[in-house]
Amino acid sequence: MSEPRDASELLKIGYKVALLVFTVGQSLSSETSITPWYILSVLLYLSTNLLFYMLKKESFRLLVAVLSIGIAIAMFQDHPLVILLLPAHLYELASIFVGKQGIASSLLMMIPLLLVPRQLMLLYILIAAVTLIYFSTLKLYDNKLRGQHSELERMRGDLERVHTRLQENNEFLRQAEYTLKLEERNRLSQDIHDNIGHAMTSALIQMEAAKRLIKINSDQASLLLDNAIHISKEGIESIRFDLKKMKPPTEQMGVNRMKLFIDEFSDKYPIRTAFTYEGNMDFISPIHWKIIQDNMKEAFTNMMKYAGATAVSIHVQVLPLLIKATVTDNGQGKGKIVKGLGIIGMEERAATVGGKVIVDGSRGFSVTTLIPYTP
Amino acid sequence: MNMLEIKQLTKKFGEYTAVDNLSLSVQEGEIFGFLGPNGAGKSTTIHMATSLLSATKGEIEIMGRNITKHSRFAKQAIGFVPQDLAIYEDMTAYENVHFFAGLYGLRGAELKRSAIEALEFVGLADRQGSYPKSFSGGMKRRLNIACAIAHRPKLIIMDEPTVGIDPQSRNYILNSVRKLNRRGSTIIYTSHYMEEVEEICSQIAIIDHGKIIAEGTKAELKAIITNQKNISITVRSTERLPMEQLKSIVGVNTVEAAEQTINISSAVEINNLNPIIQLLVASGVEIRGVEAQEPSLETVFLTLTGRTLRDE
Repeated sequence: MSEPRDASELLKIGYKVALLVFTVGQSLSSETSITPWYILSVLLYLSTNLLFYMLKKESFRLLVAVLSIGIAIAMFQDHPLVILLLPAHLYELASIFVGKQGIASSLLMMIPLLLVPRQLMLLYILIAAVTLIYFSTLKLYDNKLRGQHSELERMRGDLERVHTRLQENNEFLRQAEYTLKLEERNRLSQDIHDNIGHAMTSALIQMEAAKRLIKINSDQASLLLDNAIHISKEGIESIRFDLKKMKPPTEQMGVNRMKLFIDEFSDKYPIRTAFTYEGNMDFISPIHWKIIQDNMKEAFTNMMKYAGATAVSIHVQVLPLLIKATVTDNGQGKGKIVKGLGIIGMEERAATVGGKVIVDGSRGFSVTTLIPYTP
Repeated sequence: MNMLEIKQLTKKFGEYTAVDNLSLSVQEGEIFGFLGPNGAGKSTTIHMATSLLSATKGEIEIMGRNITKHSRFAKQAIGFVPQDLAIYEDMTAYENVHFFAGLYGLRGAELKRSAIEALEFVGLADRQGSYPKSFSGGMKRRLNIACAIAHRPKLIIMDEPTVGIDPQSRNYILNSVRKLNRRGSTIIYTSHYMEEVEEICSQIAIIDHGKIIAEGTKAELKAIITNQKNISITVRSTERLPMEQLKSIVGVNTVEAAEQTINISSAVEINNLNPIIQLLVASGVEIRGVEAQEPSLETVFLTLTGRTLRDE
């Protein structure tokens, strides 16, 4: 993956190359002779500069920067034009040392003025100014790019998190469906055992007794048989009744889970708990229950951390278009609430189903989760 | 067209989040009520919409144009009536309006005419030469409104314009809000008095802790918390009450009878008061009083947040 600073470094290299080409061009056109030494120094200068951008470690970079300045100064004796290469280096040096550029780097860039021959003075100042503007603009652009980059990174993180949460929710739904079936089966078998099982057993006993009595005392036997018929009828009636009253099991599961968790909590900590609910609980789907429970757990954690509470009440209410779940403690509350990860987590959880979370600290601490639903 | 569109607006003061990822849109021609307790973030939101505060995050558009990019346009389109009076005590009523309308860009004869018109509108034309020092609280509020409406803005934002005034001025202001709306302005009205909001607003957003927790018309908001209304009938005696027949009337859910009162809970959308009363009269029950109670916006807020709108 490309770092955002690559682009600006390329632009810096381009700028330096342009300067170098300019000075070399000037030297070629002037009368001063081109010695092999000159060519060697130009090549050396080129390679140190490339090295500068390849290195990552600050101290090495510093060394290389000083080295290329040294080479430039060495060439200065015969080719005074080389001095024009210095501003860019001095700027970079300043940025290594000072971090913030501006006045420091512009002062540093003015030092070589002491060496510059009179006829080059104006050109030097011009180049220095251009360099300063060019590099500062690059720096600005660089910072902006870096800001956008980190923002992008953050947003990707957020997306990832939301995605994971969604997947968790889907997984939970699948599991909930399965558990639902299991629990339903258990409940049915319990009911069959409790009601119909007992009825059938007692009917059976009476019929067996009747069978033995039928020859000795037929009146008594027919009484017993009547009884058995009556019990069997009642049994059938109770099967019908059980099937009819069968509640949608999500409600029982949700409420039971809440109770279980709240009981566990009050066993562990010296805090009184009260769980109440009103309205038609059938409208709360497993995924809603999960969000309500997770937010309740989070609210409990918060309460244990900050509130200094001795009692907490949990209320789940199904309104015509909204499900409302509130966890309220009797602690000292808090005037202005600073959102931590806990609250943000609750908000995100609720947001996956279009819900909202209100945290209030005016009377104790309360967390209200509002979830819309379609009846 | 959306007169005002707020997208995921957030305002933080240090670590504290005053407005929390708030989105809403106000359609042209509405009287939009912004209801919430003190400190809920109403004024902070309004101040961002009027460019008095900068947003930490989010976007605000007036008639489809971003308010930071088109700040001049936004300022001319909005008339803002602030919660704290913004009038000069040492300038006459007319000079005040003249000054503010001038700030909004009106000039010359048009400026003079508009200033007088605005003063007439709020009923202060005959006091245009007086200084606000001599005004009552209600008159100052009205002058405050005149200063904001002289340039005939498309969108008028009023931040708690009835705080601390007498009932008469209050009625006057509520009526002028309606009149301004009829003459073509969209109004955003913030208040923590739910009766006012209930009375004049066509669309309402309930805000708490910097978030919008419910939005819609009055009826829609009430439908969130209940689909029942209560009919309470006082009678001389409930002896001859036709219980079963009452329960069979369309919409009626439960009937409770005490010695002299009958409480009927009924579906809110069905108007069945007439058949109920006819039945009672026909059965010889003597009626002494009838009261039908629908939930108020206060109840909506209470049900959703567990708190009341006013400070206790």
